[in-house]
Amino acid sequence: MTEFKVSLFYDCSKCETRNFFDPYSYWDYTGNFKCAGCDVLYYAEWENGQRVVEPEAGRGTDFILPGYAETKDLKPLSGEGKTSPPPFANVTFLGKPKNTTVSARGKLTACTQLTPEDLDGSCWKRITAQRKYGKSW
Amino acid sequence: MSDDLKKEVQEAPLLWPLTPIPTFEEVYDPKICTEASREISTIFEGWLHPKHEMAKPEALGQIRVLECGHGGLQCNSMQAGGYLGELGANVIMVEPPGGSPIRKLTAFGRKRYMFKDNVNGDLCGGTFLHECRNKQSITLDLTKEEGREILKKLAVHADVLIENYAPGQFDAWGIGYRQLSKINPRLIYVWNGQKGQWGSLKDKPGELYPSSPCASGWCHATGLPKSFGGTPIRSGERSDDILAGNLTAHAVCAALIFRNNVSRKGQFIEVTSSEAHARIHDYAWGWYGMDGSSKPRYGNWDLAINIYSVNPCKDGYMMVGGGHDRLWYRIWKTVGKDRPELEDMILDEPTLRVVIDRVGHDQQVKTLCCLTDWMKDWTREECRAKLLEEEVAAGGVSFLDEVAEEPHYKYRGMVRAIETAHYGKVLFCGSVFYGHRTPGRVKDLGRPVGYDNSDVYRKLLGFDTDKLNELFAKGLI
Amino acid sequence: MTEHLDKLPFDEYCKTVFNKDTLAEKPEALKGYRVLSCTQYILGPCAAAYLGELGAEVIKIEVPRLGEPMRHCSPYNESWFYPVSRWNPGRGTSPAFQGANHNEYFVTLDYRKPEAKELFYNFVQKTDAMVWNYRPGTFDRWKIGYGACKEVNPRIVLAWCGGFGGFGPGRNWASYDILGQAKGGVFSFTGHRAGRATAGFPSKHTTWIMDYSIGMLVSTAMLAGLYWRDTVSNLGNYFECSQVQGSTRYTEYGLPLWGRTGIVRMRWGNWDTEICVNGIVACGLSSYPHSDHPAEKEEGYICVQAYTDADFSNLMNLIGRPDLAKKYATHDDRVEARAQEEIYPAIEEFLKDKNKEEAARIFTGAGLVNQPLLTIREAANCDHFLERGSLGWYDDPYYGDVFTQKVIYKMSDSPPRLKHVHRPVGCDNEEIYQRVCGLSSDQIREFEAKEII
Repeated sequence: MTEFKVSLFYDCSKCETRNFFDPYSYWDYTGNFKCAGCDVLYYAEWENGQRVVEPEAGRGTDFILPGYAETKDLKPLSGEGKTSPPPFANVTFLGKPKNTTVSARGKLTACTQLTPEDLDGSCWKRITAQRKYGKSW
Repeated sequence: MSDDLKKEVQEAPLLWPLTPIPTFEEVYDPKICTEASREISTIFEGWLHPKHEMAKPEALGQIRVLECGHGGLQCNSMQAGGYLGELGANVIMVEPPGGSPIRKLTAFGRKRYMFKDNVNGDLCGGTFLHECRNKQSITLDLTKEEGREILKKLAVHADVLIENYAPGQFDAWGIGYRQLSKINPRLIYVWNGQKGQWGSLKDKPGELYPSSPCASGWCHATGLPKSFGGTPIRSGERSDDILAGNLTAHAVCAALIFRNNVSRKGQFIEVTSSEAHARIHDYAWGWYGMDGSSKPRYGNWDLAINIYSVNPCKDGYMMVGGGHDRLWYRIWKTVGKDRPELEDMILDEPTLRVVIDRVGHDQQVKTLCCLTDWMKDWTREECRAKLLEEEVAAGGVSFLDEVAEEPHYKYRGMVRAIETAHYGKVLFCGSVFYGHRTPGRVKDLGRPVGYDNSDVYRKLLGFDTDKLNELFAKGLI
Repeated sequence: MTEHLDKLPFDEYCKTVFNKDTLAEKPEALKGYRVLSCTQYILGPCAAAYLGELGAEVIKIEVPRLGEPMRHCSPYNESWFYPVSRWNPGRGTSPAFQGANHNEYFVTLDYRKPEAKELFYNFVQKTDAMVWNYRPGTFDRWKIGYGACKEVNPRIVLAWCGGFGGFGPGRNWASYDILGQAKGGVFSFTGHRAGRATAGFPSKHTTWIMDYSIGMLVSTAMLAGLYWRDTVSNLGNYFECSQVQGSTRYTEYGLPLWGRTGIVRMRWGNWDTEICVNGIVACGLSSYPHSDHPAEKEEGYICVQAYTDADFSNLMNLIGRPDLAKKYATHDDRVEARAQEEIYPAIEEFLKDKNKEEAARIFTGAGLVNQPLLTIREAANCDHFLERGSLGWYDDPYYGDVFTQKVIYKMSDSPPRLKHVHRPVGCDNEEIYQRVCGLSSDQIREFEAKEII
């Protein structure tokens, strides 16, 4: 069986953090990256996705960050200064339902998880109440 | 033109097809397809194959369209005329004397990429040739009063008029909807533009694609995120203008139905390129409304689905899609055949177990690093073959030479060649409208400047040779 | 009635006839047409939704309880409208669903159950048009394909849309929008070319453009089919639109160029291959350097257009490079690749200490056409789109205050309009099965209990 080389992630030899290299920033990258776990600079080279120079002691001070990193027991290590900034849509980022009851301009909107008791037919009670009685409770 | 160049343009042969178009027997060979599959496909073929199209009627066969989309370099009206023409409308393209400025467009200004008229030697750009399908070409100088009088006479005979001049220009000239609807109340009049003929961002004269997607937020959301080294990016093609062309054809059909069923008269329609993009920009708006979120650029990945992305592989770029569980596990099974450790990594990850939990940014980076680490060792075709074995939707990013040679496209007549009367054999993309009773079709590609002057002016306005010569001498046609 | 309109200045005239506040006073173009939408994801649903905006009664059939998959794909899993159905109040519908499902009625039907076939034929008899996008042959296998439908209703206009089409060597390949972009060709020439400072990767279009735009074409085909039926033949029709072909159809000069010269159209970044100057350039500064919103902190971009000789020389003088105006005096000179490589960086050099608003002011002051790149948030707050009614807030009867895309184009006499963004799964079972199919509420409850609907 052919041997395949790992190119797009790397386990830091010092802190055992697994750094993931997103295939866009790192596909043809030559230079330093910073381990998200211990902030050590490594130098490596990639050519068409293949890591042709394995990580070694950093050269100079310029570096880019890994796309994502996690500890040995799969705890994420992402965050400012650790991994490259994600393209978030807003100041707050949850990665799970936001459960808001008011829209961006402050009016009632059905963006919150409901229970069977909250329903009036197929609709949230507060919305139908607003429609029928001009108010919401 | 130098002699070399002349030779190059004139004698370049058609390089297509490099491999033969597959035959019916090859496609439905019992060795590669089941009886049931052959049976149903043969029925579809009987209904839909373009080889039957010329014997069938056309849906808009009774409709005449005047397309005045050639005052500047905007391509939206030209696209609209093309789509209506495919559906059978008689599209009369009104160009300024000397020809549309769009004819002169060619990549990097290179004459050797243009198509030479084998009678008078005029050069025509590929975009014009490809998009001005099924149209009659006439010339008319709308900047002159006399020319506009002629347009008014033509409007009497038209069902639809499409234009994309600067906002209010036709109105000021006395040939806007307000004036023409007095002459022909049944006229459906469409204005095309980038952002609008009214409103705070209304079009400036000479405004072109890509100002429309810039205004609608589309460009800002296309391209890689900054942290991946990306910037906003425009579409390679004039995507907005093409969309506006589609929509114009849509609006015209709707207005024809309304005219036929209800009103018995035409109406004024406005289709703009930037609103076409705004309309299709999907969750961007609902998301904004919920909490003020501004949809970011996410490159070739998808904010809402993991895996649904294009990533590099050994010889190019590879699309893999599988958001829901069934495909997700098939993808990792495929990867696991070569790289069991990658499969384990993904299946061990607790945050990747539930579909909707997978779309966080961290999860996407991890997933796609692992996937790409597998893909980097394989070419597009190898990746695709391996993924198709598990019935995963996958495909490489095809360059246009590969598109032109794809057996499926050739078999369906999607990519085909036509022997034009003036420009030799030209490769083009066939009509998108496959139909049972009224298929769309391509009868001709772009024609030389003023090719149909005599036909159209004689037929519609009764101009004789003397009159046409007189108009020509005055520079009106 | 039109006399006072004749006297208005053109701007005012347009504002009057296209006024977004008077849409409801005007008739609808497709009043009286009924469209059945047996679709999922975007490609098929949007084709029906465009007809719904024009006034057709669109009935969308979904799988009972959870509905179609597009309801369950939300960006970053953040944004959901609840409930997805009355059986699942804890799950929501993604805003991705609303762009493709305006104005529709939502009913459920499980086609695979034997009782469902009868209900389906019931719909087919009473429908003018129908669109579906399941894999080719699926409906025919269930005996509810075109062959069966045209027996039941010879006037029905059917449209199938999907990846590669119902016949040919690739008929069994599955497709998604992004695969359509990739296999059709437009993907390969969108994006920066390699070798520049920016990443040289091909790029997909931000949203599912090949779904929405091929949906438009399918919708157009259906309208043309209806028109032909009503004016000419009184006969139904069957259309098939393939997504990859839409993508190939968009490649402009790409195919003719390859066929004639063997040259493959490639990526050219934010510049234009055929027109110069007509491109997007970076401004050095951000418009909101202190914003706490991550997307707004990055530098701005602006699109500038100066392709006539006069405009070009004006622009070059403005940025302090009159030498370039002389060097590239004609359009043929400046549109060449090497010229573009010199011109655009010179403009970016000039803009490096400005943000996009300053750049716009300077260009506008010099009489040059320009358009700063708006972010989604800026576009959503842009007067132009709000005033024209293309985007806007909407008081939806089911989901409350929603910001949404509204009308697709403007028509003076029979304008498209928004009536509701979408509704929960099976929300209209009661109404539609009673009014259209003639079922009693007992029967409806029974079918719902059996999960047939």
